[in-house]
Amino acid sequence: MRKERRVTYLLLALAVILLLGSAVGSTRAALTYYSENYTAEVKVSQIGVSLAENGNIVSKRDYDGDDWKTESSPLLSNMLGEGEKLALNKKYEEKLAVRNTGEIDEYVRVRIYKYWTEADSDKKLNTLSPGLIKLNLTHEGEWVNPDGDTSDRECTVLYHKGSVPVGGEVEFADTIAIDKDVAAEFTTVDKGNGIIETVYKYDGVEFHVNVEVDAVQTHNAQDAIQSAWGIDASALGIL
Amino acid sequence: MKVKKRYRKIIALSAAALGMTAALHVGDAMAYFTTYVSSAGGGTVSLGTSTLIHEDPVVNMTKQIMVENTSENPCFVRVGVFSGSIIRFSQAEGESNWSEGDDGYWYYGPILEGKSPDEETGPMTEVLNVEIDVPEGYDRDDFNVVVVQECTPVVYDDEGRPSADWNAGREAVN
Repeated sequence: MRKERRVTYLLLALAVILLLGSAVGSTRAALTYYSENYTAEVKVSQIGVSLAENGNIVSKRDYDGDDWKTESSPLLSNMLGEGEKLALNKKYEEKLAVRNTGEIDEYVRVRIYKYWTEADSDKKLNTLSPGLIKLNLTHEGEWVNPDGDTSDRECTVLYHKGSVPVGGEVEFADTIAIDKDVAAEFTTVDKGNGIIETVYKYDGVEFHVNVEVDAVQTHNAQDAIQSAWGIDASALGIL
Repeated sequence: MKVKKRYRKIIALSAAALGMTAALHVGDAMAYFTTYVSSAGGGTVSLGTSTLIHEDPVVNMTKQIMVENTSENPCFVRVGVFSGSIIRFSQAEGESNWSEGDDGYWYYGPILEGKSPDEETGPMTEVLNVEIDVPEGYDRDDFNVVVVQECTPVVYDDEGRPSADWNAGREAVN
């Protein structure tokens, strides 16, 4: 009986030694298995888009490194010269274009909003048609407007046919004018002493033009455009 | 029997749970490269005009008329001179920017620019000399001349030239 117990203890000691030996071995292996340090850089596709007005970038948003690089300034700030008054029906230069300032090709769309606000107020004026703000759209063959003629509407959406290459620029408007019909309603008042005053119903109203540009990658474009803009790009004919 | 029934219930519930788990579809986590920009701007439509007519008394049977733009907005002006049928009008000698229209009005050609806020008086037209010719037999000291002046905003035509649209617009109903 004592002999059996001795054998048991012997086997147990042996097992412990074997276990320790194997653990140390694997630890050693683990310690010696480190490779040299390597630095790997994965370059992410850098998308970017800009809105240009008369050749100058007024708004920009490019992915640069690991951050977005943005710039923004108002539209139409140089429409009139110093002290110049807006003339009705006069065509002012307003060349608007989308420029691909990223590092990959992209599909682009433009949303244009036109509306009026009351004099010295942010309140929208619904009695004047957005059509009196005549932003002349150009290169119509290069853009798709799924809603047809929207010149009288507040919003116009244009999808560019085909992708815009890196550094490429696509124009969509060239002039802006305010229709003379904005002065159609007036009252003439004889103030006496030879003074005649003409008061216009829409004197002092403000016109507004907002432009939004969206860009999407060209890789897997059908799904990317469907996901980003919610439209069937193939059916619309822009791929 | 009771045990079997309980097991059957557990098996059924487990099968249902398995089925529901299998039916669950984890959507593809897709991300696309997109970007956007926006910009906005606008301007004010300034329309109001105010004009002042300067009429000198008749001297040597000639009436001198000038129109001053007392508003800040440029405009075109015209003047109507009415007197019944006993007198005639003629323009003074020399070059003039005034011209007589077919409708009896006298039109001033150039744009009458708006008044600068820093100045007391606004730009004025050239003088329109109206010679009054009273026919023989009528009283030269007792006649009436009515002068009417009007203005209209500067609008551009299709060729990009500044013009006046005297027929545009209607009196607003207040």
